[in-house]
Amino acid sequence: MVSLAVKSGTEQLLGVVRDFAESRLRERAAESEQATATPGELAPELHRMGVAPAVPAEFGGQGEPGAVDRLLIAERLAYGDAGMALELLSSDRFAAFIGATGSAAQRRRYLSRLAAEPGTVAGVLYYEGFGRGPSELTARAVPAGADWTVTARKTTVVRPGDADLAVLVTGTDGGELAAFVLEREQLDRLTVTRDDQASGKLGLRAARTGGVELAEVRVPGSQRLVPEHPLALSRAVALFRLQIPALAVGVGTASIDYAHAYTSERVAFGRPVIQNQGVAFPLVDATMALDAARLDLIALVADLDHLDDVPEIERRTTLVVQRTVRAALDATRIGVNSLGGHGYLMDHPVERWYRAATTLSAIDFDPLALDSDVI
Amino acid sequence: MDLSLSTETTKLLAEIREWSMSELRPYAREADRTHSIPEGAIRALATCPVQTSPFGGRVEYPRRNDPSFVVSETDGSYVLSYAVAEEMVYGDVLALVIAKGNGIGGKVVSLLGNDEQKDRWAGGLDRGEFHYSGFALTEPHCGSDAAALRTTAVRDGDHFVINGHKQFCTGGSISDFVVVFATVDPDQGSRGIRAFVVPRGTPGFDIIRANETKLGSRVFSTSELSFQNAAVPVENMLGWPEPEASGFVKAMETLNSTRGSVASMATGLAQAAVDQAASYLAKNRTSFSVGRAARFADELERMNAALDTNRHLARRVAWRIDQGLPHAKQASMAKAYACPLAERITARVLQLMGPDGYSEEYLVEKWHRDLKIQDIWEGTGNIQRVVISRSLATAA
Repeated sequence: MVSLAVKSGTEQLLGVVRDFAESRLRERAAESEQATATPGELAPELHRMGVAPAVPAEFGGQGEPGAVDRLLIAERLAYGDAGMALELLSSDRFAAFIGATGSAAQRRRYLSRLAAEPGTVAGVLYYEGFGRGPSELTARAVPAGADWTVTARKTTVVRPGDADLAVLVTGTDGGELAAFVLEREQLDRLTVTRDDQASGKLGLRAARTGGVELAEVRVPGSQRLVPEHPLALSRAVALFRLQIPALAVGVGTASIDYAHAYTSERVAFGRPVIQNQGVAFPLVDATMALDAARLDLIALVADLDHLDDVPEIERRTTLVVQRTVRAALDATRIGVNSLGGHGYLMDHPVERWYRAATTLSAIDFDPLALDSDVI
Repeated sequence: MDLSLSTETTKLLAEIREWSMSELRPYAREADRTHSIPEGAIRALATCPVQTSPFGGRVEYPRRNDPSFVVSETDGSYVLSYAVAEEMVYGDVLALVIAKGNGIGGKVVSLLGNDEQKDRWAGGLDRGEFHYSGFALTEPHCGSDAAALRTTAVRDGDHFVINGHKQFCTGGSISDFVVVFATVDPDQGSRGIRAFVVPRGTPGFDIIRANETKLGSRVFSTSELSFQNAAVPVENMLGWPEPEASGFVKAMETLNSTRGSVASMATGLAQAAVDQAASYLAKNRTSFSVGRAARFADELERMNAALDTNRHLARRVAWRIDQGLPHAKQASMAKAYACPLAERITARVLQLMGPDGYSEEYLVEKWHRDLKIQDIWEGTGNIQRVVISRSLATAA
């Protein structure tokens, strides 16, 4: 049944998040990019608000939003700054993963900790680059008695050097998808192969990210996530992957809104720039594409509960990721172009959003999933 | 008809590419991070196979004693210049600022100046007496609508007194002189606009921001300038004592010859990205699935074909300039087509390389940033489309 009605509680929550994004993230975005760090006081603020990490009340949190709401929250935070949003939501992605795939004991152990200890740094180690989807991960988990030995190289890991908890997504020799919680003992054996803050990266500079390696690290069997539903793990990975396009929609929307305001005020050839169709139409096209992408995200989240085929879950997710980040890429390019030379200056945020969207677009890119229409 | 370059030119271009790769590229990241020109890059210029700037101007074949070096008698100087521009930028956009005789200011002097002015200012650039010439047209409130400028030049005896505020002045802070556009009669609109040579150090001429902080091409200085009662001799008005009332429009036409080279520069940057991607794919082939590696290779092949299209468009402009033919429409087409295409190619390369694409450990992310300005400066893509649409009905 089609329904796009938003619950009043959700509306209120999203309004609060958007205000937070505009007042707390947007205003500090340039400085945070420069400092290549997310201000430390923001995570506790989101924690107090019950936004991230969102933890069910039974584990001491303020309640857990639905999967769609989580994406809309990501979008709205990215409207303020995608780099900070990526870092601030890392522990929430961990919480969502545990909530969807953990046993009762695991949920109690980890979610209670997240609720009680606001400073806990947690994340999900999934991405490997090279266009790999969940069925192609090279990270491996091998049984070792009651335990497991994991070996992995992961990219785009948030706060790679100082995580307290992490979910590691791997494959098994049997061709299954597997996931494990890594605690301090295992994370101490993690090697940071690239620290993006040190080497530098194009965009999302406020998010401390990097690449990591785990070489034959032993993980207790009790830390493997074995959900009751056979598809729960695939669905959780899919929802995790949808965070990137959700952030991209937020970035794209920010750029288009800014460009619209700018071109409405600036006058050239005797009239507001927006009154030229050559300027207005691309902005409208970008708005439509982003709007459509948001609907695609919402639709897929709903469909995930019904899809009962692992390859189909992966394929649909990959397509939505590609299509959505592409819309954001176009939007931020149009945002820069709309400001002309001013768009190229760091005096305006559109250049930052252009870099952010491009960076997001490379995180989960699969050339096989797109039409080959670069030319 | 033939769009291919002569054997001699091809050989010279190979030399330039080798030079730009070995002498310029090692300084690319440093220049981007420091927003300044590394000393080593300036020294490297001495070994460049061509010694005159190819950016928007003519390049003459180098004269050498080496008997094996043959001067092309077939490729015109603009054809050569565009191709050289591509190869120099292939190494890095640093080439834009270190090449001798750079800057559009000198070209405007050549176009609008009297003989004495041409000899003193444009000739000075050719002779190496000046290193760089700036072009100050855009103001904070007006870019594409350049005729709406507010900077004034008021006659006061033997001087003109200039007051105003300029932005995006190419090379403003490093120029020996800047050609400043100002109105002598605001009521006359564009016909009241004149160009003045303002030498560095003129009292009242201040640099507000030496190099505006930009998305990319950071080593390429664009400056914000202030003129407060800056007095220059009347002889510094280009075309003095009888400047053309249509001088401004004519000056804008200067950009017709430089626009084509923008297409070449965009192509050079995109080609660098494609070649980097090819090398990346070769090194990491086993990290990709067979299908993705094949798609990657296939995309690179089609990108190369597309970049050839860019070259053909730019080459047509250059040939028409060399032949003295009208070329405004062709220049706008080359720029409007080539720059977004180069952008898309570089963005796709970045995606194909994944997290390595956005990492500063590789230069692709930098080229992606550097490239964005090509679709904006010297007339935005929208302005080019206006020019093209107005010329669709004409034969030239």
